[in-house]
Amino acid sequence: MEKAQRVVVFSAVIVAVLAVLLGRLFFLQVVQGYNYQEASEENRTRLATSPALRGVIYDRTGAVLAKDTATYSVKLTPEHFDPAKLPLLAEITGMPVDEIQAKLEENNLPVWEPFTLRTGLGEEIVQKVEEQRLDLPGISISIEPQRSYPYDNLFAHLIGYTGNISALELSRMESAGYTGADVIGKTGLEKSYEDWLKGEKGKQILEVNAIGQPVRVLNEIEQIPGADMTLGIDLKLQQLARQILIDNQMNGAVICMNPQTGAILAMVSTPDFNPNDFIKGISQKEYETMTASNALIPKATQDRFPPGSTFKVVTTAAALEEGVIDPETYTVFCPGYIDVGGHRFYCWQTSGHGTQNLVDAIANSCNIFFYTLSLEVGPERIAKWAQLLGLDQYTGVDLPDEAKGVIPTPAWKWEQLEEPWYPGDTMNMGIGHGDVAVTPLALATAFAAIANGGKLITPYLVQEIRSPDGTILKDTQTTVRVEVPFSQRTLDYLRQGMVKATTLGTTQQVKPPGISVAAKTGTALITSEKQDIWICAYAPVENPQILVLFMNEYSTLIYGSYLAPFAGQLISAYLSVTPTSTATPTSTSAP
Amino acid sequence: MNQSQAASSGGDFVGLTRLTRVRRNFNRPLLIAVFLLLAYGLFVLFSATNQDPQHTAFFWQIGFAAVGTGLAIWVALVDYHIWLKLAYPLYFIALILLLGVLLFAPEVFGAQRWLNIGPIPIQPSEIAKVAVILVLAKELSGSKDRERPFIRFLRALTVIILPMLLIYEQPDLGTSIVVLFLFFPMCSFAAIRPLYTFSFFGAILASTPLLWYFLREYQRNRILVLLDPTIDPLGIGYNLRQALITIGSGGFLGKGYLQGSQKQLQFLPVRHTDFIFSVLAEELGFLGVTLLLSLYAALFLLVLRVAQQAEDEFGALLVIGILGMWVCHVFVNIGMNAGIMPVTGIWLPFFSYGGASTLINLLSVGIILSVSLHRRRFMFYPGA
Repeated sequence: MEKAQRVVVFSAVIVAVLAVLLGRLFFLQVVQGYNYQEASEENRTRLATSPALRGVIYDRTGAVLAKDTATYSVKLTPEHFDPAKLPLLAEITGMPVDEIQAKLEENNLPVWEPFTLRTGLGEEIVQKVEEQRLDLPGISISIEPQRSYPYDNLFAHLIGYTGNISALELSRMESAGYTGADVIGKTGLEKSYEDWLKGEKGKQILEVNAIGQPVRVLNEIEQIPGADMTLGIDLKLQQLARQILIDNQMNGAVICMNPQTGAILAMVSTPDFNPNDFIKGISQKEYETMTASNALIPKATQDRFPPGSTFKVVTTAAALEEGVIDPETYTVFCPGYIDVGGHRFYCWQTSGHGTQNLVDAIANSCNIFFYTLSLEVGPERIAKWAQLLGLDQYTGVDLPDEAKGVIPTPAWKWEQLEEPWYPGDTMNMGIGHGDVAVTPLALATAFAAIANGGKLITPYLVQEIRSPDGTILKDTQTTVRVEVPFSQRTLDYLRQGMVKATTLGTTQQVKPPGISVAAKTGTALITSEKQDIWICAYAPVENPQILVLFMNEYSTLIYGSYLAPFAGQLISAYLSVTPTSTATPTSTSAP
Repeated sequence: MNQSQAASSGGDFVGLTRLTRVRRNFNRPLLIAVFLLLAYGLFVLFSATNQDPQHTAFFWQIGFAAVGTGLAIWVALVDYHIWLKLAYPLYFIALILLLGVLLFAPEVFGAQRWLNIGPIPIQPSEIAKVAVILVLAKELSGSKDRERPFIRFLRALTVIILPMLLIYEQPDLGTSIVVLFLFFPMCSFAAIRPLYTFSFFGAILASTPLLWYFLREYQRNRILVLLDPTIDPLGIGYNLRQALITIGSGGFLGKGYLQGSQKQLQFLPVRHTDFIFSVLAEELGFLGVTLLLSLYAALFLLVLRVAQQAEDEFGALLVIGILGMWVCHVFVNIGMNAGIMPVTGIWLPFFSYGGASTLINLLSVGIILSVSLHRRRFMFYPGA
């Protein structure tokens, strides 16, 4: 090739190389320029969110039951962290070196993003880190709200607790603006009132540099704290209810409510747990221990139990309202047993009650009377009135994951067990045994309907919701779900029977001096030695202010009437009178 | 005329004083193109280092350019045949320094490239590039083995192999490839049979898949990320993606001088050295980029003309070697900024901040000017 030709070829190569570059740049800057301009704009800014303060929860007297407190978190930016400072960091945070290393290895954020090393630290960490600031590059402190429950276990099942949103919850709640970093109400009121309590997250549009460090705040929206709530709960009554259960080592549930309005005054389930442990974080083992002891289940709303003789009010209502018997004349002779279909069924008092009319039978809780009566009423009509009293329905209480009861009928039994219905099933049903199972709250609501003259109301915990500036957002009014079509006569008979019960044996101890109380006890045999025992009482009878349902699961006490003094204590406390007795019952009365 | 004659008679032009010759033959347009590039580079460097209120890098670069210009003019006035004598000594010094780097240099970002001689940090691979050009020019233009072209070709090949391997070991893949690619234009321009050059070129291309196994993990990643920029956008794809956003968001007219948000916010890594082109593209847009490439085109074609009109083959090959180095650097650097070449530490001639590169480039300008100056035929430039 001649020199001149070579020069031409070289010129061509040079021009070609530069043309390729120019072409590429034309594509990037002119053809795709707009897309990259957008990317550049996004690049420059980053949206940071700061959690909102959750609403405060108060009892009816203004005591704080749940609130957010400021805690401090230690954050580490791996890019700037010097591994030689591990021992110093361990000393300051109180974390073992290998735990920090493990967290460093687990961390999957980019190296310039700070990640949380430890949360829930007190204010003293700020000073500790500040003192060593120069020796701890890449370590920062952030303030975060943390939920705290000043009364520990007392409201475990009622208020519940909060926690980090799970992947499953996020998939459901993402459309509502939640992100993976959010804390949400997991159980109890924290869960059911999540929308009210959560508030609005603060948002900051930050201009950031390449390593993600904020350069300045371009735009800021302050967080809006969540709404505050006042419960109908009476702190002192709640404390007393739990104290009684704990002192007597009873597993069970206690519900105190205003039978006129449905406001829940106290509601406790045992065993319980400390929700603050969940905030701090519990180990798998601790969680398993809690699960094994059923501590996490609110018995009052999420579990169901055979109601025993308390159910006799339903059988009575059905008999009277369906016109099966004439209460003036109808009597049954109780010899202590009854033979039906070749089987002998016993009364709890095996020596027999003798001749019983309706009022006596309710007061004595005579099984033979109710066996006989239920065979006359029949399962369908008993079930109809149980359903009218809401025993197989949700009460609609403002708590999450409520359970509902089971009221068996022949059709139900065939469907569930493919077995025919026997007269024995009707008899068991009539006294609240067999397959009858109710939640304590549904039973309390049914008794409230008897107490208040036939209104099946929705029980509620939250009385009032206020915005942070004090505006009332919601003031709970009593909701009547069903006007139970009770005749006055039916109500009178039920009331008479239950008032008479409080004049007999140990059940007397439910009655504070000078106050009329109506009560029905129940005992559902579970094994030969253990039973679920109940008492449901309200007072004063003329103008009911408080209804107490006391349930002791798997009790070693023999009869529900042994719970009378405990219910009495609660009634006395609420009505501010001295209880008759707080002694352990000794003599026997109706179960 | 053989080399020794040329060397001895190079300074002896009949009937003309030295001054007149300098005045008549001095390649003023080329020097102006270089000055325009340097000025443009400083203009962009000022913006790229705007966050430093002292503009330390900017003033250092002015210093490098001033010293380099002095060096260029000094070298220009010296007959370029002096490099025939200096070629091998420089080459061996470069090899020793490269070995020294491997043995003694501190490791920075996983690579050893700098050697401290007293207080002055030097980059032996930069010296090696120029030394290889000198030695190749000498070998390819020499009278030895004229009749045995294949032996000449092999000798030339031997010259580049050792420095290439030493630079590759640092590891500095980019520079070792530049050294390799000096070989092709110089061989093509010399009287080497194209068959050899292109066979070798073909062999290298064919062995590319084999080379893959010699690459280090991060080098492979840099190539992979070119093929799919979405790989690990916060990791290895980060530089590339940010460079593309920076360039692309400049658009046709740019965001305005000193207004580049990408640059200001430090999204751009090493923005005053290897990625200074992105700053230019962001702030001055496609227009500013076109101006830069036009300046390069002008410079390169002027340099090519010097090669064409050189007094002898040695001079022509020196110029072609330097031209090859610059074209290669421009393509690799802008190419990596624009996401069509892997990321390597390759500077942009007269634009990137750096003492070593600026001095080497201006020394090269001096050599080209010297080749332009020291010839018998007069060139008439306007205003000369």
